[in-house]
Amino acid sequence: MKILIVDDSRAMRMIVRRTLRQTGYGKAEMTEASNGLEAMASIRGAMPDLVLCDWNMPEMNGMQLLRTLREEGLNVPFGFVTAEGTAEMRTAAKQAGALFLLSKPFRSKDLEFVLDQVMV
Amino acid sequence: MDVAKDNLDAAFVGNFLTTLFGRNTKTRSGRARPPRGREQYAFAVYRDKEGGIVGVMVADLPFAAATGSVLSLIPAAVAKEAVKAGAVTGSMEENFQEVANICARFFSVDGKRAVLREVSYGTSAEGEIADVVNRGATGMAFEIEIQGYDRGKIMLFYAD
Repeated sequence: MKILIVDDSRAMRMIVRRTLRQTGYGKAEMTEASNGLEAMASIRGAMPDLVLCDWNMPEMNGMQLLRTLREEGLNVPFGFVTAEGTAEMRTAAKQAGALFLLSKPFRSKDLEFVLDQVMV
Repeated sequence: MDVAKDNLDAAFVGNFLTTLFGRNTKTRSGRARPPRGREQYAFAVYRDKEGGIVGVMVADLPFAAATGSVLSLIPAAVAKEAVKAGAVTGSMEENFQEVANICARFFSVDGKRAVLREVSYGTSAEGEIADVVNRGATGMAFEIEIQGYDRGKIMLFYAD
């Protein structure tokens, strides 16, 4: 299983990796991108099984990335991991095709719970 | 998850930071006072969609250094040195920005959406930030000790 972690904060990417390792998905192959553009290039090169993506990022934000993926017919499973999590954002994320929106900070069991729901 | 401002107490802040850092955090309420002295503070400014200030988180240097360090496992001794030198820099500063970004939750209260827009450093607030911070009556303060790191303080000031 391949998981692409997209976040402009290196520390946050590290935390997501660390948290993933504490879940049942710890053996997944993890790759990273620091914005939507980098993520797009990475996905075109090798399709991951899941994208865990921040919302606010420079160059191309998470929502722009998700919309670009869907426009190109790339239906990779996609979830937001973001500092914000208003009802409005959750609705927008869902409408754009995200499987979930997990607000930071989160515990490993929170992450595992949402992944268990979508990675079946 | 929307938060009600009335629920923002030491227990909430403590749980929030414990979850973020994966370490035990002791938190207690203190008194919010606008900084006026020689000590350096970080001023994290949160704005709404229209660019209006929703609030300001004022963090002392020990908090900025500790949280900027613990996020990527920078040793406590390095954080202590940064405090002594009077500045957080490099990856410690970058990490603190992320902590401040996540702390937007403290200002996304009562259905409002607040986003971190800038972090500046200084001994006192200036300009429109001062207008919010100097209205100390609307603020709340927390002393925070993350396991293994020195105790620091944050103050949360709301525009309304």
